[in-house]
Formats: sequence, C-alpha cells, structure tokens
Amino acid sequence: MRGSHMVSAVLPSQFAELTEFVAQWALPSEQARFNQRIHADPANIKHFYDTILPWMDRILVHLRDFPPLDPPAPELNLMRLALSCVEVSRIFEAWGQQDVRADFLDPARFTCVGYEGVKHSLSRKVKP
Amino acid sequence: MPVNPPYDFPMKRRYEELGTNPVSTEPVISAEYFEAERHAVFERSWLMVGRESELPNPGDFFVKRIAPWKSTVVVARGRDGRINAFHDVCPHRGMHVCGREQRGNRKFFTCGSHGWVFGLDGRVVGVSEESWFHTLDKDRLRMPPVAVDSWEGFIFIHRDPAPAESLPEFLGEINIGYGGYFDDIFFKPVGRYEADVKMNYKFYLDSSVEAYHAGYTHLQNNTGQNAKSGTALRLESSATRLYRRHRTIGVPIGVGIRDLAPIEGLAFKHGGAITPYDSRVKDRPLPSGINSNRDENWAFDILEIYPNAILFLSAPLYAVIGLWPSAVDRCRFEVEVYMNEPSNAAERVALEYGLVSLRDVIREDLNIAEGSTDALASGALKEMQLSDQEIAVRHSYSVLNQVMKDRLTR
Ligand code: FES
Ligand SMILES: [Fe+2]
Repeated sequence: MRGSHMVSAVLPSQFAELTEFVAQWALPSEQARFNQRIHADPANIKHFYDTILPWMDRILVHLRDFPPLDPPAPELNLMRLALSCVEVSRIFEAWGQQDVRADFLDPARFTCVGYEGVKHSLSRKVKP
Repeated sequence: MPVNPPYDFPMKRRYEELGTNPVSTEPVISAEYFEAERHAVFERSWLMVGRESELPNPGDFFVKRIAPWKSTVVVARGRDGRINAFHDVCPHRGMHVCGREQRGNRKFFTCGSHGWVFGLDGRVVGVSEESWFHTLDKDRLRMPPVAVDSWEGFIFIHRDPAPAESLPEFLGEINIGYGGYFDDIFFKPVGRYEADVKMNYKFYLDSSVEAYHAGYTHLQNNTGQNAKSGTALRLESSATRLYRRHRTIGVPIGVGIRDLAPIEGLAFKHGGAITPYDSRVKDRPLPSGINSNRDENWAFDILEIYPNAILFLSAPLYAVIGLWPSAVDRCRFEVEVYMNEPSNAAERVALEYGLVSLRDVIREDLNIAEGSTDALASGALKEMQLSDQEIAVRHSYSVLNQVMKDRLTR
C-alpha cells in the first residue's frame, strides 16, 4: 500500500536504524533545532549524539549526491538529523554544558533565520 | 606625533593622542547622551543598510527600520535601475505607506489610509478623489527622500537628502583597499540572525575590536584561542589600524596545534568550498585592505565602519553586523552571513557547523554586552579601564567624544 511504503521510506534504507530519532530530531529549521538543543532533556540529547556520531561520515558521503535545498523526503529527513547532530555537537565537543552563557540575553529574544529562512526570504516576492 | 608612526611601535605609542586614561561610562549609560548621539552621530552619518544585490530588478524593494532616526525607510530600485530611499511616511496625513519591515517587488506603493499612490522614488503619482483638494502641489509632494550611495556593493543611506559629506569622504581611508572581495557570485547570503538586546550598542562594538576577551568570554568556544592554553590570543600592533572614524583589526588563528573536534573534522572533510582549505577559497587573492600584513597566521579582519556596522572578513566567509539602537539600553542586532553556496546536501550540513559556531560566539558577546549594560545602569561605576590590547575600544570612544564635542560648536 502506498501509505505504508511512505512510512517505511522515512530514511534511506541503509540508515533505517536511525528512524527512532526522526520524530524528535528531523526538524525543519535552525530555530527549531536551536530550541530543541537548549530545551531537550540532556540524557535524551546525549543518546541522540552518541548514536548518530558513528554514522555521520557515511551520512555525509550519502548526502553528497543530493541538492542542499529540498532533497527527496528520505534524504531531507537524513539531512535534518545530521543538522541536529551539528547543532548539539558543541555541547559535547566544546562547552561541556547545554548552552553557552546566556544569563542575560534570553534566547527567546534571539532569532535564527538560518539558511532555509534566508533562501526563502530572497525568493519571496510580494505581488504588486 | 608623526603622521605615519611605524607599525611595530607599541599601540599606545602609535596612537599617542588617544592617551592612557580610563574612559567615562556616561556614553553607555546616559539617556540624555544617547538622545544627543542620535542627532550628532546617527543623523549625520552614512549608515549601511544592505547590499545592492538584494535588489536585482526594477521594482525590488525592502523596508528597514532605522531605529536611531525613529524612522522606517523604503529602499527601492526604480525603473531606471537607480536605487532610491525615502522615509516610509505618507505626505497626506503621515501614515506609514509600507508599514513593517518587508521585502518584495512593486510597481507602486499605495497608502492604505486614503489610497494615495507613490512611485518607486517615493513621488506622488496618484491622489484619490483629487478634485476635493485645494492647492495640492503634486510635483513637490513625496515621501521624504534620504540620500543613497554605495560602496563595494553595500547600500548606504544618509538622513540629509543632500549631505555635506559624500560617502567616499565619509569612508575616508577605507574607501579603497576592499575592491573585489565582496563578490556577489562568490559569496551568497547563507544565514541570518536577529536579536532584541537590552544593551548599549557600543558594548558590541567594543568586544568586536579587542581579542583580550576571547580567552574568557569565549573560553569554551574558541578551541585553540583559549586562555587555558596559557598563550592568550594577542593582537599585533601592526594589524591594528585606527582611522579618522573607522577602525580595523587583524585577528590571528589560534595558537598551538590542536585536534579537530569530531563534527568539526567532518565539516571540514565534507565541506568543499565552505571550508578555508578548499582551493577556491584558499587561492582567492585578497585586496590590500584585508590581512594587510599578508600574515600567514591570519584568521580574519574586523572592520568597524562608524557608527554602527561591523564587518567580519575572512577567506571563506564574511558577515555584516548592523547595530540599530532605539534607546541607551536597547538595540536591534542583525547579522547576515555570506559564504559559498553549498552545492550539495553534505556541504549544507558543513555550512551549518560554521553558522552555529559563529552564532553562539556572537551570543556570548551579546550576553556580556547586555550584562554590562545592566551592571552599569546604577551609575555606581564612573569609569572603565582599558589596556593596550583594547586600544581600538579607546579609539571608538575618542571618535565619539570628538563628534559630540564638535556638535556644540557647529
Ligand atoms: S495618510 Fe496616506 S493617503 Fe492619507
Ligand atoms: Fe567576542
């Protein structure tokens, strides 16, 4: 059935082991990934990072063959997982804490337009 | 002092006129000072508002809030290909014609209040129910113009429609030396961040032109440029150039050898032309104004264009920061990042590493700027202390104080 085929193609088949992370980490924007990184449960973030890290080289090799904007759905999900891995990586690879110091500048007053946001705003034309 | 002191002099000897005294906190905490600064500084300076490449076609426009003018400005490319700028205020009874910040393409602008219509230069082209008016001079009526000019593809505006000082005069020493770097084919907009910050805008200027803070504010972030290593990042006297109004510093890459972090290493491995090691990036010649010492250990330049623009200039990327203060302790912060466009989804992921690293370093600086603004608000502290490594900060206050003094004798 068409519907079940689409569900099974959440990720390219060779990355199916990462399917458990799609719902929480295949997020559509830098803002969503940033919010997730600063608000998610630390143990949950670490489980995601530890699991996906050994896959990252293979993921990036695979993604070389796809466009940066709007790849097919399985690759889009895979790219979004990789982008979330980048987002959380500095917790473990640089800071040793969930965010940089933010005791004065409330993250709620900081907006990430991000790559897709910039591309979207450049292509958007208001009708006369 | 000599006009061109040798670059290898200690900074305080190169710029003896700046002195060595502490600087007053008044410019960062006084509401009266800020009000005077709006007029003396922001209403009398050319301000960078975007790139010409954002408006490729006739009819393309953007609307930008210019908070220190208490104005909103429309920047539009006309049918004749020229870029016009004018205040977003209707000459009928003063409503915003465009309203909030936006971008798009139009043939005309129409005021939603009573339907007056304006051309891409802000001139009135249609008055609804015109016969009811008495003495309309339609040729003279327009949304009030502001001056526009450009430098290296950047659009600048000046509140005075016929400014006494041209943009090249205003830019002075930096008017030349940057040709060819800001190539719109090579560098594409790839990221943008915005923030409403409870800071005096000068705190962000200050942290941008000294490396002293890097090993502390960015302790865990600038892996390699790290105070823990015992060899803190230090600015070379020769890479610090303080001009009549503007200033530039060259920042070296981190000292010592270190291993790349796992994701950092993968970003470099798969990043293609997003990375500094790609030949398209590495072999691209830089104009004389950038890394002007031709230092092999160079990482990036900071160019501060008085009064509110900061350019981060490196081989793989440049970023443009705009500081738009609305009050002594409020500032709209904007940064636009330009880099090679990723050509595949792996490079897109590598790009993210560069973007989020830059973003979180910026957030550390903004956090300190907001914290400092809050801490100084009581007025308990009257002066700030500056070291030789912070001489560009001293220069910034010196330029500002001179402008503020001159306004009284003008
Ligand atoms: S205020 Fe614009 S038409 Fe009246
Ligand atoms: Fe900094």
